[in-house]
Amino acid sequence: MARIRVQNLVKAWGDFRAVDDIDFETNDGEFVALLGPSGCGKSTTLRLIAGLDQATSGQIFIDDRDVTQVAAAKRNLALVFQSYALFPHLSVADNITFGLSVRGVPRAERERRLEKTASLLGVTALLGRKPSQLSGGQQQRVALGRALISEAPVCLLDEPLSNLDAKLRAEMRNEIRTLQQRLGITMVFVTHDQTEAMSMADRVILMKSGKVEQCGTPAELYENPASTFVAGFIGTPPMNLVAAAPKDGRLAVAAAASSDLVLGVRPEHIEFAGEGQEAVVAGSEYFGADTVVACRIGEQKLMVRVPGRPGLGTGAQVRLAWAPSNEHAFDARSGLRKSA
Amino acid sequence: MSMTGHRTMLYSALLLLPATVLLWVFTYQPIFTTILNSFYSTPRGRRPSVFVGLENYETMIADPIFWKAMTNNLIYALTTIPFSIALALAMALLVSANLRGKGLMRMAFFTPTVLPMVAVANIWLFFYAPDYGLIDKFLGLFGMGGNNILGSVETALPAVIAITVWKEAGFFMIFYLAGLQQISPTLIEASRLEGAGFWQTLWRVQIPLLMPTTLFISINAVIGAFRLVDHVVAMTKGGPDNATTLLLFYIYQNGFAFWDTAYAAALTVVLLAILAAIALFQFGYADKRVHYR
Repeated sequence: MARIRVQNLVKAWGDFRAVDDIDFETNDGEFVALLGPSGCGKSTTLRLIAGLDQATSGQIFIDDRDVTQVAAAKRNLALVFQSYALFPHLSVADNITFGLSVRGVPRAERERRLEKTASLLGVTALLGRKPSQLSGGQQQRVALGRALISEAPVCLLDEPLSNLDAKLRAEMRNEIRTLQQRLGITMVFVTHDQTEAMSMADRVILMKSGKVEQCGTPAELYENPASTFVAGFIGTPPMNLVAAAPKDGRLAVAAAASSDLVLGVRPEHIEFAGEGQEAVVAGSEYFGADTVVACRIGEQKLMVRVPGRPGLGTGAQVRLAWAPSNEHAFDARSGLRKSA
Repeated sequence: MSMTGHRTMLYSALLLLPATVLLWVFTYQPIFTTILNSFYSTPRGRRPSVFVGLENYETMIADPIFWKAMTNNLIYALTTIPFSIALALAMALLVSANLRGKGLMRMAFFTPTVLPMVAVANIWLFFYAPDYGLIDKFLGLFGMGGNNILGSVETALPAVIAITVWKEAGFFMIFYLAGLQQISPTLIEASRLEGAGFWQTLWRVQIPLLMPTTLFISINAVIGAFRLVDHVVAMTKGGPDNATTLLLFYIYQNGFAFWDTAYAAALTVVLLAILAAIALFQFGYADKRVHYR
C-alpha cells in the first residue's frame, strides 16, 4: 500500500515549464488518472514520479519517503511504457522476470512468481514466444506482467491503451481496473482520453499547460467543473459554453457572443420543451441510441442530446429548457466557476 | 519460345554481361588460374612449368616459415579482432552519451580510419623508434629505455597488432554508433527502472541488440586480419626473424620478391580456403543465431 504525494513539482526546459508547480496526493490503493490534452505535462509528471527525469524543483513522496533524489530503480514502483518497451531479444518469460533476474532473485522464487503473474494475466501459453510474435493486446499484457511481478505497491502506466484498437481497449480498460482492485495497488495512469479516465479512475487529475486544472472524482469533474476548460474537456459532446445574461434570477443565452458571464449546460441536460428559449435547428448527428442536435440562438450555438430520433429538420423552430440545478456559471475572463 | 521471349533473354544477357565480364576477369578466372598454377612448378629461364601434383603443398607442410606465418596470423586475428571490437564498442558508448565535446571525440576516434595505412605505419615508426621514439623516451623516464620495439622478436608482433587495433577500432565505432542509435531509449529506461545498472544494461540489453552489428563488424575484422599487410611492408618486412610475417605478406614475398609464383599460388589457395570457411561459418551458423526478430 502506498500513497504518492507531489509538492510544488516543477520541470522546466529553459524558459518552458512543462510541469508548473503542481500539488496532489493519492490515497492507498487508489486508481488515479492524469488527464489532459497533449503537451499538458501529464506524461512528464509521470516520468518525474517514476524517476526517469529529474525534477527542477519540488518534492515527490512515496509513503512519506522523499524520493525526489532517489534513483528510479530504488523507488519501489513499476512502470508500463506507452510503447511497452519489451526487450525484443528476450522471450516473454525472460521479459517478465527481467527485473527479478537483475535483482538476483533466486530461480525457484522467480519461477513461482512468473507462474502466478502469467496466469493472472492469461499469458501462460505465450511464455516461450518473442515479443515480435505477439499481438498488440498480448504485448500489453506482457508489459503489465513485467510491472506486476515486482509486487511494487505503486504502478504507473503511460497511455496504456493508446496502441490498442477500440474493441481491445474497452476489454483492457476493464481488466486493468479489475487487476488494480484485486491487487490493491496504487495505480497512476496517463491518458488524453476523457472517457478512459472517467470510466476507470477513482480520481481524475485534469491538467492544462503544466498546471492542475481540477482534481476530483469523475462525478465531481462532471457535475462541478472548476473552469470552462474542465467543462469543455469532460463529456461527449462537451458542455455547451455560451455567453449569458442574467434573467429572472437565472441565466439565459445571450444573443450576442460576448459577455462577461459564461453559461455552461450539458447537451444531455437540455430538452425540447413547450416553453423555454427559442432556437433554430442547424443540423443533427444520429448515433443510434441518441441524437445530438445543433441549435442556434442568435449567433450562438448549443448542442442538445436527445434520446432516439427527434425528427427535426434543419431550420425547425424549437424551444430549449433545462433545470436550474444543471446550470453552471463561469467568469468569462478567468474561465473560473462562479460560486452561486 | 516466342519472339518476345528470345528478346527478353537477349536483353537480360546483355544487361548481365558487363558485371559477368568484370567478375570473370578479376575474380573467378584468377581463382581458377591460381588453383591450377598451384599444381605446377614455377617456370624459370628456359625451363617451362611442369605438372608437379601436390608437390607445392608438400613443400608448404614442411616449410617452417609457412607455419610461423600461420601462427602469427592466428595470434594477429585472435588479438586484433576482439580488441578492436571491444574498443569500438567502448568508444561508441562514450560518444553516444550526452557529453560535452562529443563531436570532437567522434572525429578524434574516426581519424585513424581516414589515414592511409602506409602513412599510419610511418607515424608509428617514430613512436616505436629506439631511443628517440615517443614510447622509448617515455619508458626512459623510468629508467626502462633502450628498447627496439620493432626490432625484437618478442615485441614486434604486439607492436603491429597495436597499430591495427588503433586503426580499425575507429572504423568499427561508426557501425556501433549507428547500431546504438537504433536501440529505442525506452528500452534502456525500462532496463534501468527494473534495477539494471550500466553493466547489466550493457550486457543484457545493448550487446544482444547489437549482435547483428557485431556480426557485420566481425566479418570485416576477419577479412581485415588476413588482408591488411601494408604496415608490415612499411615497417618490418616480416622481420625480425619472421616474427611479423603474416600469411598474405608471405604470399607477397614468395610471389614478388622470390618470384616463386607456383608456391605463392599454393599459399593463396590456402588463404582462400581459410576465408571461405570463415565466411561460411559466419553466414550459415552465426547469422541464424544473432537475428532475434
